[in-house]
Amino acid sequence: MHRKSDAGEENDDSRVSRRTFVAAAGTATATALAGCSSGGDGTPTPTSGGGGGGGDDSTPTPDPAAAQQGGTLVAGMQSGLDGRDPHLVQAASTLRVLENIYGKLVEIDQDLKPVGQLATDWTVSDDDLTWTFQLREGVMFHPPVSRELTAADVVYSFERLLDEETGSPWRSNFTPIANVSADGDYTVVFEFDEPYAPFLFKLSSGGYILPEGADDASDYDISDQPVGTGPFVFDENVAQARTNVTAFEDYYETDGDDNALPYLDEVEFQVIPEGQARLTNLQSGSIDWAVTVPPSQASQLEGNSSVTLSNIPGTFYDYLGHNTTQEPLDDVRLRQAISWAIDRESIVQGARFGYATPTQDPIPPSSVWKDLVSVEEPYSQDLEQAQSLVDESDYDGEELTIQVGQQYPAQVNIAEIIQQQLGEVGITATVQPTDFGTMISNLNEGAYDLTIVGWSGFVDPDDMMYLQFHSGETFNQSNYSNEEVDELLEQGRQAAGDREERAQYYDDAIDIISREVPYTFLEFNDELAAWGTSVKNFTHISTGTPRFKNVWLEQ
Amino acid sequence: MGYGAYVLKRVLLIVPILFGVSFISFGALELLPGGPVEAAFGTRANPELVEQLRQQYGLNRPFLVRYFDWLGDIVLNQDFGQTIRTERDVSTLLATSLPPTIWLAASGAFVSVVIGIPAGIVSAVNHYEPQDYLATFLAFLGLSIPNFFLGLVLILVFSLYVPIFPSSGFVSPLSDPAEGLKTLVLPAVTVGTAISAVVMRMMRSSLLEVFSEEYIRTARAKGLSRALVTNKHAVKNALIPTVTVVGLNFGYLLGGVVIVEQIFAIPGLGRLTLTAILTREYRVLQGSLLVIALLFALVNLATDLLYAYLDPRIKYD
Repeated sequence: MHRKSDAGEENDDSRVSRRTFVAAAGTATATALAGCSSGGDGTPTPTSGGGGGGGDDSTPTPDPAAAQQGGTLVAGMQSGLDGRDPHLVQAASTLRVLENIYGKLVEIDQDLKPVGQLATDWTVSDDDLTWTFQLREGVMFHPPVSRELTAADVVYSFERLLDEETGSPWRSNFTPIANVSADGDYTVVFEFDEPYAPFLFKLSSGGYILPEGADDASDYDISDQPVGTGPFVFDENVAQARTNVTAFEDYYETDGDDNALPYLDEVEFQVIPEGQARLTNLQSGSIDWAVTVPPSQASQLEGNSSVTLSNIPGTFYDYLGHNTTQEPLDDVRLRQAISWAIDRESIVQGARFGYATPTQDPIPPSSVWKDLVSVEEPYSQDLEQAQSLVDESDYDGEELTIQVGQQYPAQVNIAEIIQQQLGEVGITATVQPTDFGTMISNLNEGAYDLTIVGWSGFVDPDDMMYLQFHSGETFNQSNYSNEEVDELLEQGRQAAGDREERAQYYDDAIDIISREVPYTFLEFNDELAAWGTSVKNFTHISTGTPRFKNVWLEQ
Repeated sequence: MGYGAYVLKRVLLIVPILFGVSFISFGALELLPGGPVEAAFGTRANPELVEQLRQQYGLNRPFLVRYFDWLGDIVLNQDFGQTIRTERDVSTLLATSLPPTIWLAASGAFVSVVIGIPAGIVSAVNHYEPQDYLATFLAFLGLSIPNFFLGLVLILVFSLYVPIFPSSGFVSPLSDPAEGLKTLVLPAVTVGTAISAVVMRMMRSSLLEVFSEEYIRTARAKGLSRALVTNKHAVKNALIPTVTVVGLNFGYLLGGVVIVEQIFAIPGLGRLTLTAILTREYRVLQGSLLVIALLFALVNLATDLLYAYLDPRIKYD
């Protein structure tokens, strides 16, 4: 759950940017292994993939018989490896690589639902305080560890994540865990003091399993050499240039025909920071697959017969944040007026080149929660309504600043579009492009009026709402506080029961939030990726994390 | 003062320059809002985590203590410290980023000389004639086309439509000469084109100046051919200011042409520096600024020393 700026072009251009460090988590949170397998009986079955939400994703129905073994897939990345210890990194680009190397108990499928990966099954006690996970048997660690994964490794990994000394940015996902223990070789028990409903999703976010004793190992250095259980083994990294991973011979999964996975021999993640250069490389065939296609350039690929462009609704959204405790935006009528003045479609077109979906809430369009949680009275551009609310409010024409990360042209565009739309109802705003680091400290200190920021990585509604809208929480930079919302969010966090029941709390909370407008939600960016025609069986997932274990190359 | 003493003086001058650069770059970073820990962990950087990591990395010690500690390690052990985010050796990062940048800078400067000097000569010899106007026009065109645009056009034309050259990456010409030079062509032309205009204009104007001097008139009066006068008597003298420009350009290129490195995915110093700024990776940034300053100082020194070869009349005092 991270704030980042931009999922689109700028993200692409910003190289480091929030996406790299913050945004990243998005990827992690919703790890995307959609292609295959589910937490069930441990026999993975490739499922057909067509990307969570459509687009012209041409992922073919997997036909194991047709799959060809071997080959090196060259993937064009926006930035290089930012670290190798999965408990310590959050950069999206880095996690895209590490997700192919490390395993987790639970991963997120293309409907953003949790499914088993290293866990085959789990149960929750009646009081919702104990979660028991059954581990998949026969999972091997990469060399030099080369032994079977057991419950002790899982316990070790979570103790490591929870240890403050580790300094893991994922730690806050797991702090509610009171105790983690092994029960035999293949059973892990997590105990809680209070019910923790989002736990499954949190497991998929940063809960990477390392071999027990990794920190003290003498034959490898875990901060330098990743040792996981995933389909690919870390081979080599050349700073700023490339990362190579090779197929793990003892990987536990096979396809429907008992062929070993992964099909590929090797994946080379090549760093090509510039978006247009990535696309040119793709079109000329020097790379096979490209991540983070800049929306401004995506249209050049449409209709190109040698390249498949896939756009599906992503998990990254832009919002207009209001500082609700500072004049004049402490006046809810002014905040509502702003929400009525904004035309989301013009933002989608003007700033995102059409590759985005307008939204009234933070639930990703591809999420299973989308139908359950929605705003009762959505906003749409209504200048009369906006004007009368402005007139009614205490606003007397003072200038509002919109702070926006200067590295993110698309967000600056959004700010400019909003500035103009606010002008139509007599609200004067200035756009203030600001260095991202400075902006974040401004937001934390409440030194702003309005801001354009993006969030990503939300899978569970708790992720999307608790830390942002609960009084006094870490990311509540709007300084929003409403007792009823607090209570609903607490209930949602504790209700480990069925999805419908939890959804009710969030559905109620979002209605209040929408009325009181700490955020004006704008649009979800599309997740854009592109690959050459030789790439087969790739499943594009809205979180953007590529999983290459089921992919094969036509040679 | 003899030539040797002059060289020594110039070399020694580099020391206070580097000292100043190191102090300013180290100090200026203190003023940047947001620290490396915040940059690394973004909004997840809660105050406890920040404090803990600051202690872990010694960021909470007094400024001067940290400065001299850092400088001491560099001077005594050539150790530029560790990065915060990836816990990698900064010295290694600098060492791997330097060769691509030097290759790019050298090949770019080479292209600028190959284009700029002949064009400048043609221009000056045919002063105010069509050739001059054409060369001047092309020079300004080269100067006016932004690097990123020219780079992308070159990629489109020579990597996509007529796939002759690879569009990105870097292969050291030392390890694979053929492939290495091939990967250098497009980026070198991209940077070289822009600065060749400066070289061309400098060559043209200094040659024109030389042409107006008496010894040239004397040579012409003796009946020497125009080509001979130009090549034998004028060009060498006109080269002196041009060499300064090429040297300065080269120094500038060594700072890393961020845009070009970015477009052509060259893992060089410019990209390293940019990334370090965006991620507040202080050690990398401080190290790369220092290296860039050192390179610049060295190039300037070399330029000055080259004068002596070109013009023995230059006095060193």
